[in-house]
Amino acid sequence: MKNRKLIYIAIASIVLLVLFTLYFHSTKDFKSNQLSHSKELVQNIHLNQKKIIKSILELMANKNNNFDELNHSVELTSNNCISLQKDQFLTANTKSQVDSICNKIDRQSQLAESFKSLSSSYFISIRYLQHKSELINYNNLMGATLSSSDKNTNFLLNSAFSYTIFLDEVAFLILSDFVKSSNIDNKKESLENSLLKSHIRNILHSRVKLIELQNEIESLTPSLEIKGLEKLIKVKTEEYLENQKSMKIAFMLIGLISLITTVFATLKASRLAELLIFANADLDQKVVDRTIELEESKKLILKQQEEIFASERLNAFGEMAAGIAHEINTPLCSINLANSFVKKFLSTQDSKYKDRAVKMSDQIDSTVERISVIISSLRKVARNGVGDEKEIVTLKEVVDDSINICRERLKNSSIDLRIDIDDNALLKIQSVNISQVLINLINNSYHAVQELDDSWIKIQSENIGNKIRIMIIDCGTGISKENLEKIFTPFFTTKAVGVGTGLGLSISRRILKDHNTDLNYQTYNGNTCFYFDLDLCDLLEIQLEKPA
Amino acid sequence: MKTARLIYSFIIFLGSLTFIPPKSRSNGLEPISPIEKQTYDPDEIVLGGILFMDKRLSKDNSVSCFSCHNIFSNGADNKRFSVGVQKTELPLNTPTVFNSSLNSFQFWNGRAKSLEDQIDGPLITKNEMGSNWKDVVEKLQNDPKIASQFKKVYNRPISEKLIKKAISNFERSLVTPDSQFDKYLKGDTSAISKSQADGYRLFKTYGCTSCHQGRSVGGNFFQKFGLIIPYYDKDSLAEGSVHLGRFNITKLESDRFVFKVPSLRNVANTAPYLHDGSIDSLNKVIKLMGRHQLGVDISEDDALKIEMFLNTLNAPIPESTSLLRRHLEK
Repeated sequence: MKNRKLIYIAIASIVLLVLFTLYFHSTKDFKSNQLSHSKELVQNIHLNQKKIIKSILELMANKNNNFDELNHSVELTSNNCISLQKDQFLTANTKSQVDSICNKIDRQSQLAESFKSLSSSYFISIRYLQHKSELINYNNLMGATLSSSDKNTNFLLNSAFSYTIFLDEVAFLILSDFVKSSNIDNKKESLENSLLKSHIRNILHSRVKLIELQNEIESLTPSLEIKGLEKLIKVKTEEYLENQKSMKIAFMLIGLISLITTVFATLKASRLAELLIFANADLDQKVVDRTIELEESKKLILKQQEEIFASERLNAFGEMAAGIAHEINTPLCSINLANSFVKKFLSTQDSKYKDRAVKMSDQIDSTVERISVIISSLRKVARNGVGDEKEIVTLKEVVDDSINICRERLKNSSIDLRIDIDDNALLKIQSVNISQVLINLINNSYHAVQELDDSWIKIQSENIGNKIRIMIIDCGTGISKENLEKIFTPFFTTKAVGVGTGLGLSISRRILKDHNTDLNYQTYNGNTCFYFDLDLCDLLEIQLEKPA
Repeated sequence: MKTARLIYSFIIFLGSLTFIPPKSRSNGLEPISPIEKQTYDPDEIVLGGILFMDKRLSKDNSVSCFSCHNIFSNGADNKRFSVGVQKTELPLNTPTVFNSSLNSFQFWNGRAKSLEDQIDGPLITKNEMGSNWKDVVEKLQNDPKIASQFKKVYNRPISEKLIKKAISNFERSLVTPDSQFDKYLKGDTSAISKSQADGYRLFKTYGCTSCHQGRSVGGNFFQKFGLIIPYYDKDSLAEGSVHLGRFNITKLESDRFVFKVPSLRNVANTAPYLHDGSIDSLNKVIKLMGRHQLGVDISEDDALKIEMFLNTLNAPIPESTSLLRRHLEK
């Protein structure tokens, strides 16, 4: 009973701890986000205020005449202000501070609006004067004599420029005199003169007004309020951090209580739980052990598979061993026969056998020749060609190497071997490996058709674009549908036990994969046909590779 | 050997100099700055575009934003006055919606600051679309296709605020960067011809850039129409006439005849001109502006050059319209 109570207390304190943690973190994030957000806003306002002043100064100096920056800064400031007003941390006394900042900024943006209009019209007037002076100077340059009014205008223009640039007081007096004087005889004035007058009046008026506006905008910068607000936010942040500290202590206390009760409860917990824990641990260990075992056996299987593939070469030759023996046996027999005849002739020295004996001797020569061809082919093909470099060979060479080994056997079973290939097709291949593919396929065909009447095997090639298709066709009537799905799986064979290993096709396929192609099956005019495509060699490429 | 190596490295150094990009013209001293490309959310643009072309936003389902702002040509119509639901002509010329997001104010009298606020204008005005938000939201809520799109883009049901947001963000995607002149500003001096560059020089020296400046070549503040030589007779205009401009909003004497300076981006494509569409050719309006706003008579030659310059502000129609078109054709 006592144990159960302890467990309840432990669970309750853990739940409390979790709840508390959640609450703690949610408030922490919310509050600190709020404060840092407000801080950011105030900083932004401060920054944009500086930008406003800077762009106004630039506009005053006629450095550029682009209001985008001013507009942008003004817009950003007022947006920041609106967000600041919505901020949660506002209390009654901070609210008044924020409001006063916002009011100032509102007024500032209005003033910025009039500043823009005024500075643009000021700019227009200056441009007009420049235009005018250019025109007079141009006329002067072209040799026209200046009229007195032109001279007068020129004088006025120069004064106006010196006023706008240097704020010359004398120039100011001259200009204001001009504006006033022409007011008297208004009616007689020409349009030109009245325009000049209005532009000069505009300059005098705008210049003063612009400076006033500039000063007013600058004075509206709420730097004091911003500083106050920044201070306030700082204080608030500190307060908040202080608060956090006491929260942390309470947090730790509750944590400690829950830890102690949990430990206590665990210690006093029933023996059953302990047993359960041990049982669990045992089970875990078992799972780990089994997994390791499984991994190891998987590795073993993979290794064995590799080994099997490696030995398949030898198997394939084992399969051919009988054939090869035959291959050599037949010519040996004929040598034997011929030799016995020659012997007979030598012993009798009968001249009527002489011609025949010479003929026999020639036959021995040619038969020996044939055997050596077979053996050299065998040597070539029997070599393990796995790591071979690709070499350039004609299709005929590859096919010949393969059929030299099986020709005799096929002949013996009276299978007609028909060859219809493009002799000159150039291939860049691992020729030994491709020969093995051909031998495998011919072997398969041999096994399939040896029992049939009038049987034949055909090796045929067909050009398809820059590829050549090599087909091994036999007189069989194809592979049944259910077997077709399985023929490429290793160890599948339809041959009698001891005849095939069931690896031929899968190995052939693997070799062809190395040549970026695949072994395919189809029925060709109703007959069984295995085929694969090989890249034809580019003549140009060969010429490049061959040493000059 | 050493000298040869030195010479080689010197040649390579000289070669590498040719890869330094040409100095950009937009160094702050040019009154006009290029438009930058915008990034946008394609789903939201498609939704905004569909709403932009949705006639259900009007009272009798006969007019959409698209009816007056053809976003597949110039962002406006080529009429002097557009026609709303009442089949009557509106009093002011429709400005293009292209680059409207770059304007600091919307409408000729600048009564709306943001694009979101601007939508209220045509939607509620009696002879434009003559509708109200309650009806529009209700009509759209009954269309499951639209509702599902809202769900997809905002994951919230249809509301006035979201409709405004979708349309405004669509409008924000309707900027036209890549004008010849922008290329020129970015340092490609061959982007505009010699006489067009000459036109730009005249545009600056006549003082046009006093008002037509910034990214939008205007659109960022107000100016009096008839600044130097009055255009309208003060007494001949009735109370509340559209020609009074901003005065109708603020009732300040200084705002009489004051209008938003229109943007000159794509100006050659957006005839007719002025707030009342009363001038039909660019040449005429250039001379009129010279006379009344600057107090100078711009010669025929100069007007032609300025017109040639203004043609360099034309740009291909915004990318996002082709996105919308592809969606509509699906």
